[in-house]
Amino acid sequence: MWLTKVRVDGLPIAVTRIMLAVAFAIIVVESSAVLHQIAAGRMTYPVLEVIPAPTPSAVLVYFALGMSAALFLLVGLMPGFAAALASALAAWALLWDQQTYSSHHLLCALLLGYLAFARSGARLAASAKLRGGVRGDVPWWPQLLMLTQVSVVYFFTALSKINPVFLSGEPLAGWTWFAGPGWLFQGLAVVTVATELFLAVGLWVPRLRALAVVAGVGLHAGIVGSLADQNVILFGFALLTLSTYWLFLRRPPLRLVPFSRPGRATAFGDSPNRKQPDDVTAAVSG
Amino acid sequence: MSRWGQRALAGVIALQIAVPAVALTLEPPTRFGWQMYSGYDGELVVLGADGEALEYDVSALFAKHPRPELDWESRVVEELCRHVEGASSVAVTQGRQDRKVVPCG
Repeated sequence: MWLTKVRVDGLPIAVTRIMLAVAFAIIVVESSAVLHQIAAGRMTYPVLEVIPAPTPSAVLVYFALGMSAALFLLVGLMPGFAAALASALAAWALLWDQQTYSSHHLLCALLLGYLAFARSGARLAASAKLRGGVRGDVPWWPQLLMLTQVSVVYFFTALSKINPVFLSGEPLAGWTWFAGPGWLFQGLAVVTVATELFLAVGLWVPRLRALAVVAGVGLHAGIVGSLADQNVILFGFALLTLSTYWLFLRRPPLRLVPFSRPGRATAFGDSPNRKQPDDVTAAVSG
Repeated sequence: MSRWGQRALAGVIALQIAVPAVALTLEPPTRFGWQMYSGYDGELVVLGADGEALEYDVSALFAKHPRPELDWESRVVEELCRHVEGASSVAVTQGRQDRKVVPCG
Protein backbone atom coordinates (compact mmCIF):
# COMPACT_ATOMS: atom_id res chain seq x y z
CA MET A 1 0.00 0.00 0.00
CA TRP A 2 1.39 3.34 -1.03
CA LEU A 3 0.96 6.80 0.39
CA THR A 4 -0.37 7.81 -2.99
CA LYS A 5 -3.29 5.44 -2.55
CA VAL A 6 -4.62 6.89 0.69
CA ARG A 7 -8.08 8.31 0.13
CA VAL A 8 -10.07 10.74 2.22
CA ASP A 9 -13.50 12.36 2.32
CA GLY A 10 -14.01 14.75 -0.60
CA LEU A 11 -15.84 17.53 1.25
CA PRO A 12 -12.87 19.48 2.70
CA ILE A 13 -11.05 19.68 -0.65
CA ALA A 14 -14.28 20.89 -2.28
CA VAL A 15 -14.35 23.77 0.18
CA THR A 16 -10.67 24.40 -0.56
CA ARG A 17 -11.51 24.56 -4.26
CA ILE A 18 -14.20 27.18 -3.68
CA MET A 19 -11.89 29.35 -1.57
CA LEU A 20 -9.08 29.03 -4.11
CA ALA A 21 -11.49 30.04 -6.87
CA VAL A 22 -12.22 33.32 -5.10
CA ALA A 23 -8.54 33.91 -4.33
CA PHE A 24 -7.60 33.20 -7.94
CA ALA A 25 -10.25 35.64 -9.20
CA ILE A 26 -8.73 38.36 -7.01
CA ILE A 27 -5.27 37.55 -8.36
CA VAL A 28 -6.49 37.62 -11.96
CA VAL A 29 -7.94 41.08 -11.41
CA GLU A 30 -4.75 42.26 -9.71
CA SER A 31 -2.38 40.86 -12.33
CA SER A 32 -4.60 42.00 -15.20
CA ALA A 33 -4.43 45.54 -13.85
CA VAL A 34 -0.62 45.37 -13.76
CA LEU A 35 -0.42 43.81 -17.22
CA HIS A 36 -2.89 46.34 -18.61
CA GLN A 37 -0.68 49.17 -17.36
CA ILE A 38 2.33 47.57 -19.00
CA ALA A 39 0.41 47.12 -22.24
CA ALA A 40 -0.54 50.79 -22.06
CA GLY A 41 3.11 51.85 -22.11
CA ARG A 42 4.53 51.49 -18.59
CA MET A 43 7.91 49.83 -18.12
CA THR A 44 8.17 46.24 -19.31
CA TYR A 45 10.33 43.83 -17.34
CA PRO A 46 10.15 40.47 -19.10
CA VAL A 47 11.44 37.32 -17.44
CA LEU A 48 12.66 36.12 -20.85
CA GLU A 49 13.19 38.52 -23.73
CA VAL A 50 11.70 36.00 -26.17
CA ILE A 51 8.28 36.25 -24.49
CA PRO A 52 6.20 38.89 -26.27
CA ALA A 53 5.24 41.90 -24.17
CA PRO A 54 1.60 42.14 -23.04
CA THR A 55 -0.78 43.80 -25.45
CA PRO A 56 -4.26 45.11 -24.52
CA SER A 57 -6.01 42.32 -26.41
CA ALA A 58 -3.76 39.60 -24.97
CA VAL A 59 -4.39 40.89 -21.45
CA LEU A 60 -8.12 40.82 -22.15
CA VAL A 61 -7.87 37.18 -23.24
CA TYR A 62 -5.87 36.40 -20.08
CA PHE A 63 -8.51 38.12 -17.95
CA ALA A 64 -11.41 36.33 -19.67
CA LEU A 65 -9.76 32.93 -19.42
CA GLY A 66 -8.79 33.55 -15.81
CA MET A 67 -12.25 34.61 -14.70
CA SER A 68 -13.79 31.69 -16.59
CA ALA A 69 -11.45 29.25 -14.85
CA ALA A 70 -12.29 30.86 -11.49
CA LEU A 71 -16.01 30.52 -12.19
CA PHE A 72 -15.66 26.88 -13.25
CA LEU A 73 -13.70 26.19 -10.08
CA LEU A 74 -16.27 27.97 -7.95
CA VAL A 75 -19.19 25.93 -9.23
CA GLY A 76 -17.16 22.75 -9.67
CA LEU A 77 -17.54 22.35 -13.40
CA MET A 78 -14.62 20.34 -14.82
CA PRO A 79 -12.68 21.35 -11.71
CA GLY A 80 -9.54 19.39 -12.53
CA PHE A 81 -9.22 21.05 -15.91
CA ALA A 82 -10.19 24.45 -14.48
CA ALA A 83 -7.55 24.17 -11.74
CA ALA A 84 -4.89 23.17 -14.28
CA LEU A 85 -5.86 26.07 -16.54
CA ALA A 86 -5.90 28.49 -13.62
CA SER A 87 -2.48 27.29 -12.45
CA ALA A 88 -1.09 27.63 -15.98
CA LEU A 89 -2.54 31.12 -16.34
CA ALA A 90 -1.09 32.19 -13.00
CA ALA A 91 2.29 30.81 -14.04
CA TRP A 92 2.00 32.53 -17.43
CA ALA A 93 1.34 35.90 -15.79
CA LEU A 94 4.46 35.42 -13.67
CA LEU A 95 6.47 34.67 -16.81
CA TRP A 96 4.90 37.45 -18.85
CA ASP A 97 6.44 40.25 -16.82
CA GLN A 98 8.44 40.29 -13.61
CA GLN A 99 6.24 43.05 -12.20
CA THR A 100 3.39 40.60 -11.69
CA TYR A 101 5.46 38.65 -9.15
CA SER A 102 4.19 38.37 -5.63
CA SER A 103 4.35 35.61 -3.08
CA HIS A 104 0.58 35.20 -3.02
CA HIS A 105 0.48 34.94 -6.81
CA LEU A 106 3.14 32.22 -6.75
CA LEU A 107 1.42 30.40 -3.89
CA CYS A 108 -1.86 30.49 -5.80
CA ALA A 109 -0.23 28.99 -8.91
CA LEU A 110 1.25 26.16 -6.83
CA LEU A 111 -1.89 25.37 -4.83
CA LEU A 112 -3.99 25.33 -8.01
CA GLY A 113 -1.43 23.01 -9.59
CA TYR A 114 -1.86 20.54 -6.72
CA LEU A 115 -5.63 21.05 -6.79
CA ALA A 116 -5.72 19.93 -10.42
CA PHE A 117 -4.95 16.39 -9.21
CA ALA A 118 -7.14 16.47 -6.13
CA ARG A 119 -10.49 15.38 -7.68
CA SER A 120 -12.04 18.34 -5.94
CA GLY A 121 -15.29 17.92 -7.87
CA ALA A 122 -16.39 14.92 -5.84
CA ARG A 123 -18.49 17.14 -3.58
CA LEU A 124 -20.20 20.55 -3.81
CA ALA A 125 -19.71 20.50 -7.56
CA ALA A 126 -21.87 20.94 -10.62
CA SER A 127 -19.94 18.16 -12.36
CA ALA A 128 -20.85 15.71 -9.58
CA LYS A 129 -24.51 16.66 -9.91
CA LEU A 130 -24.35 16.27 -13.70
CA ARG A 131 -22.93 12.79 -13.20
CA GLY A 132 -25.95 12.01 -11.11
CA GLY A 133 -24.36 11.62 -7.73
CA VAL A 134 -21.37 12.33 -5.54
CA ARG A 135 -18.20 10.32 -5.28
CA GLY A 136 -17.28 10.40 -1.65
CA ASP A 137 -13.57 9.89 -1.37
CA VAL A 138 -10.60 11.41 -3.12
CA PRO A 139 -6.83 10.84 -3.20
CA TRP A 140 -5.01 12.48 -0.31
CA TRP A 141 -1.57 13.04 -1.83
CA PRO A 142 -2.46 16.34 -3.59
CA GLN A 143 -3.78 17.60 -0.27
CA LEU A 144 -0.53 16.57 1.39
CA LEU A 145 1.37 18.75 -1.10
CA MET A 146 -0.94 21.67 -0.32
CA LEU A 147 -0.38 21.24 3.40
CA THR A 148 3.39 21.00 3.15
CA GLN A 149 3.42 23.99 0.79
CA VAL A 150 1.49 26.19 3.21
CA SER A 151 3.66 25.08 6.13
CA VAL A 152 6.78 25.92 4.13
CA VAL A 153 5.37 29.37 3.37
CA TYR A 154 4.68 30.05 7.05
CA PHE A 155 8.09 28.74 8.09
CA PHE A 156 10.18 30.70 5.61
CA THR A 157 8.20 33.89 5.87
CA ALA A 158 8.78 33.74 9.64
CA LEU A 159 12.51 33.09 9.16
CA SER A 160 12.84 36.00 6.74
CA LYS A 161 11.22 38.31 9.28
CA ILE A 162 13.80 37.49 11.93
CA ASN A 163 15.92 40.50 11.08
CA PRO A 164 16.62 43.77 12.88
CA VAL A 165 14.57 45.82 10.43
CA PHE A 166 11.31 43.91 10.79
CA LEU A 167 11.72 43.24 14.52
CA SER A 168 12.28 46.95 15.15
CA GLY A 169 8.58 47.36 14.42
CA GLU A 170 9.21 50.31 12.11
CA PRO A 171 8.01 48.61 8.91
CA LEU A 172 4.82 47.51 10.65
CA ALA A 173 4.22 51.03 11.93
CA GLY A 174 4.50 52.26 8.35
CA TRP A 175 2.15 49.64 6.93
CA THR A 176 -0.71 49.88 9.42
CA TRP A 177 -3.52 52.45 9.25
CA PHE A 178 -3.29 53.23 12.96
CA ALA A 179 -0.58 54.93 14.96
CA GLY A 180 0.90 53.72 18.21
CA PRO A 181 3.99 53.70 20.37
CA GLY A 182 7.13 51.94 19.14
CA TRP A 183 6.87 49.17 21.71
CA LEU A 184 3.45 48.21 20.34
CA PHE A 185 4.79 47.60 16.85
CA GLN A 186 7.89 45.84 18.20
CA GLY A 187 5.56 43.56 20.11
CA LEU A 188 3.36 42.97 17.08
CA ALA A 189 6.42 42.13 15.01
CA VAL A 190 7.55 39.51 17.53
CA VAL A 191 4.01 38.10 17.81
CA THR A 192 3.78 37.89 14.02
CA VAL A 193 6.99 35.89 13.71
CA ALA A 194 6.07 33.65 16.64
CA THR A 195 2.60 33.00 15.22
CA GLU A 196 3.94 32.13 11.78
CA LEU A 197 6.49 29.73 13.28
CA PHE A 198 3.76 28.20 15.43
CA LEU A 199 1.51 27.74 12.40
CA ALA A 200 4.29 26.02 10.43
CA VAL A 201 4.40 23.32 13.11
CA GLY A 202 1.18 23.57 15.10
CA LEU A 203 -1.16 22.83 12.22
CA TRP A 204 0.43 19.38 12.01
CA VAL A 205 0.15 18.54 15.70
CA PRO A 206 -3.25 17.10 16.63
CA ARG A 207 -3.21 18.60 20.12
CA LEU A 208 -2.28 22.04 18.82
CA ARG A 209 -4.05 22.29 15.52
CA ALA A 210 -7.33 23.74 16.80
CA LEU A 211 -5.34 26.45 18.55
CA ALA A 212 -3.26 26.87 15.40
CA VAL A 213 -6.40 27.37 13.33
CA VAL A 214 -7.58 30.07 15.73
CA ALA A 215 -4.13 31.68 15.67
CA GLY A 216 -4.00 31.51 11.87
CA VAL A 217 -7.44 33.02 11.41
CA GLY A 218 -6.50 35.72 13.91
CA LEU A 219 -3.21 36.42 12.15
CA HIS A 220 -4.79 36.77 8.73
CA ALA A 221 -7.75 38.78 10.04
CA GLY A 222 -5.27 41.04 11.80
CA ILE A 223 -3.24 41.51 8.63
CA VAL A 224 -6.28 42.26 6.47
CA GLY A 225 -7.83 44.53 9.08
CA SER A 226 -4.82 46.50 10.21
CA LEU A 227 -2.76 47.16 7.10
CA ALA A 228 -3.54 50.39 5.32
CA ASP A 229 -3.16 49.21 1.71
CA GLN A 230 -3.84 46.21 -0.47
CA ASN A 231 -6.54 44.82 1.81
CA VAL A 232 -8.36 42.98 -0.96
CA ILE A 233 -5.12 41.36 -2.10
CA LEU A 234 -4.28 40.46 1.48
CA PHE A 235 -7.75 38.96 1.78
CA GLY A 236 -6.91 36.84 -1.26
CA PHE A 237 -3.70 35.70 0.41
CA ALA A 238 -5.65 34.86 3.55
CA LEU A 239 -8.04 32.76 1.47
CA LEU A 240 -5.12 30.85 -0.04
CA THR A 241 -3.69 29.77 3.28
CA LEU A 242 -6.98 29.42 5.15
CA SER A 243 -8.31 27.20 2.35
CA THR A 244 -6.02 24.45 3.63
CA TYR A 245 -7.01 24.65 7.30
CA TRP A 246 -9.87 22.18 7.08
CA LEU A 247 -7.50 19.84 5.25
CA PHE A 248 -5.15 20.10 8.23
CA LEU A 249 -8.02 19.39 10.63
CA ARG A 250 -9.25 16.40 8.63
CA ARG A 251 -5.97 14.92 7.48
CA PRO A 252 -5.19 11.27 8.16
CA PRO A 253 -3.16 10.68 11.32
CA LEU A 254 0.49 10.59 10.25
CA ARG A 255 1.23 7.42 12.18
CA LEU A 256 -1.35 5.71 10.01
CA VAL A 257 -0.02 7.06 6.74
CA PRO A 258 2.30 4.64 4.96
CA PHE A 259 5.50 6.49 4.23
CA SER A 260 7.54 3.35 3.71
CA ARG A 261 7.48 0.37 1.42
CA PRO A 262 4.45 -1.87 0.84
CA GLY A 263 3.68 -4.36 3.55
CA ARG A 264 4.48 -1.90 6.30
CA ALA A 265 1.62 0.37 5.54
CA THR A 266 -1.16 1.01 7.97
CA ALA A 267 -4.65 2.19 7.31
CA PHE A 268 -7.11 4.03 9.48
CA GLY A 269 -8.18 2.05 12.49
CA ASP A 270 -6.04 -0.91 11.54
CA SER A 271 -3.46 -2.52 13.71
CA PRO A 272 0.13 -2.11 12.54
CA ASN A 273 0.50 -5.82 11.79
CA ARG A 274 -2.68 -6.27 9.88
CA LYS A 275 -2.33 -7.10 6.19
CA GLN A 276 -3.37 -4.10 4.13
CA PRO A 277 -5.62 -3.89 1.12
CA ASP A 278 -4.27 -2.24 -2.01
CA ASP A 279 -6.43 0.76 -1.68
CA VAL A 280 -7.31 2.39 1.57
CA THR A 281 -10.28 4.62 2.01
CA ALA A 282 -9.87 6.78 4.99
CA ALA A 283 -12.87 7.61 7.05
CA VAL A 284 -11.10 10.55 8.53
CA SER A 285 -12.15 11.78 11.87
CA GLY A 286 -9.07 13.79 12.75
CA MET B 1 0.79 5.62 -8.82
CA SER B 2 3.20 3.51 -6.91
CA ARG B 3 6.89 3.58 -6.22
CA TRP B 4 7.58 6.35 -8.74
CA GLY B 5 4.55 8.28 -7.62
CA GLN B 6 5.77 8.14 -4.07
CA ARG B 7 9.23 9.27 -5.13
CA ALA B 8 7.77 12.12 -7.17
CA LEU B 9 5.76 13.18 -4.14
CA ALA B 10 8.87 13.17 -1.96
CA GLY B 11 10.71 15.09 -4.69
CA VAL B 12 8.08 17.82 -4.83
CA ILE B 13 8.12 18.22 -1.05
CA ALA B 14 11.93 18.37 -1.12
CA LEU B 15 11.72 21.12 -3.76
CA GLN B 16 9.14 23.01 -1.71
CA ILE B 17 11.69 23.17 1.09
CA ALA B 18 14.92 23.47 -0.92
CA VAL B 19 13.96 26.46 -3.08
CA PRO B 20 13.16 28.89 -0.24
CA ALA B 21 16.06 27.47 1.78
CA VAL B 22 18.44 28.45 -1.03
CA ALA B 23 16.66 31.80 -1.39
CA LEU B 24 17.25 32.43 2.28
CA THR B 25 21.02 32.36 1.66
CA LEU B 26 20.78 35.06 -1.04
CA GLU B 27 20.46 38.80 -0.68
CA PRO B 28 16.94 39.49 0.64
CA PRO B 29 14.25 39.86 -0.44
CA THR B 30 14.50 37.12 -3.04
CA ARG B 31 11.85 35.67 -5.27
CA PHE B 32 10.60 32.16 -4.45
CA GLY B 33 11.75 32.68 -0.85
CA TRP B 34 8.38 33.57 0.74
CA GLN B 35 10.00 36.69 2.13
CA MET B 36 6.97 38.95 1.87
CA TYR B 37 6.61 41.82 4.31
CA SER B 38 10.01 41.08 5.80
CA GLY B 39 10.92 44.75 6.01
CA TYR B 40 13.38 44.72 3.13
CA ASP B 41 11.91 47.43 0.99
CA GLY B 42 13.88 50.21 -0.57
CA GLU B 43 13.93 53.62 -2.12
CA LEU B 44 14.58 55.04 -5.57
CA VAL B 45 15.62 58.69 -5.63
CA VAL B 46 16.24 60.37 -8.96
CA LEU B 47 19.04 62.92 -8.71
CA GLY B 48 19.69 65.95 -10.88
CA ALA B 49 23.08 67.25 -12.03
CA ASP B 50 23.70 68.99 -8.70
CA GLY B 51 22.65 66.00 -6.67
CA GLU B 52 19.23 67.39 -5.89
CA ALA B 53 16.31 64.97 -5.60
CA LEU B 54 13.86 65.23 -8.50
CA GLU B 55 10.19 64.48 -8.10
CA TYR B 56 8.53 61.99 -10.41
CA ASP B 57 5.20 60.24 -10.74
CA VAL B 58 5.73 56.53 -10.05
CA SER B 59 2.37 55.58 -11.54
CA ALA B 60 3.22 57.30 -14.83
CA LEU B 61 6.29 55.10 -15.33
CA PHE B 62 5.55 51.79 -13.64
CA ALA B 63 2.55 49.49 -13.52
CA LYS B 64 3.08 49.50 -9.76
CA HIS B 65 5.94 50.56 -7.53
CA PRO B 66 8.84 48.25 -8.42
CA ARG B 67 8.93 45.38 -5.97
CA PRO B 68 12.13 44.97 -3.96
CA GLU B 69 12.65 41.48 -5.39
CA LEU B 70 13.37 43.03 -8.81
CA ASP B 71 16.83 44.11 -9.87
CA TRP B 72 16.42 47.88 -9.70
CA GLU B 73 19.89 48.79 -10.90
CA SER B 74 19.39 47.88 -14.52
CA ARG B 75 16.00 48.29 -16.13
CA VAL B 76 14.32 50.36 -13.40
CA VAL B 77 17.16 52.90 -13.30
CA GLU B 78 17.19 53.03 -17.12
CA GLU B 79 13.49 53.78 -17.12
CA LEU B 80 13.84 56.57 -14.58
CA CYS B 81 16.80 58.11 -16.41
CA ARG B 82 14.91 58.02 -19.70
CA HIS B 83 11.71 59.58 -18.47
CA VAL B 84 12.52 61.95 -15.59
CA GLU B 85 13.56 65.27 -16.98
CA GLY B 86 16.96 66.45 -15.76
CA ALA B 87 17.93 63.09 -14.25
CA SER B 88 21.64 62.45 -14.08
CA SER B 89 21.71 59.56 -11.63
CA VAL B 90 19.50 57.41 -9.43
CA ALA B 91 20.17 56.63 -5.78
CA VAL B 92 19.13 53.04 -5.14
CA THR B 93 18.59 51.67 -1.65
CA GLN B 94 17.34 48.11 -1.90
CA GLY B 95 16.99 45.41 0.67
CA ARG B 96 19.79 45.62 3.21
CA GLN B 97 22.29 46.95 0.68
CA ASP B 98 23.84 50.37 1.20
CA ARG B 99 22.64 53.32 -0.86
CA LYS B 100 24.20 53.17 -4.28
CA VAL B 101 24.21 56.01 -6.81
CA VAL B 102 23.87 54.70 -10.36
CA PRO B 103 24.68 57.27 -13.07
CA CYS B 104 22.39 57.63 -16.07
CA GLY B 105 23.63 56.62 -19.51
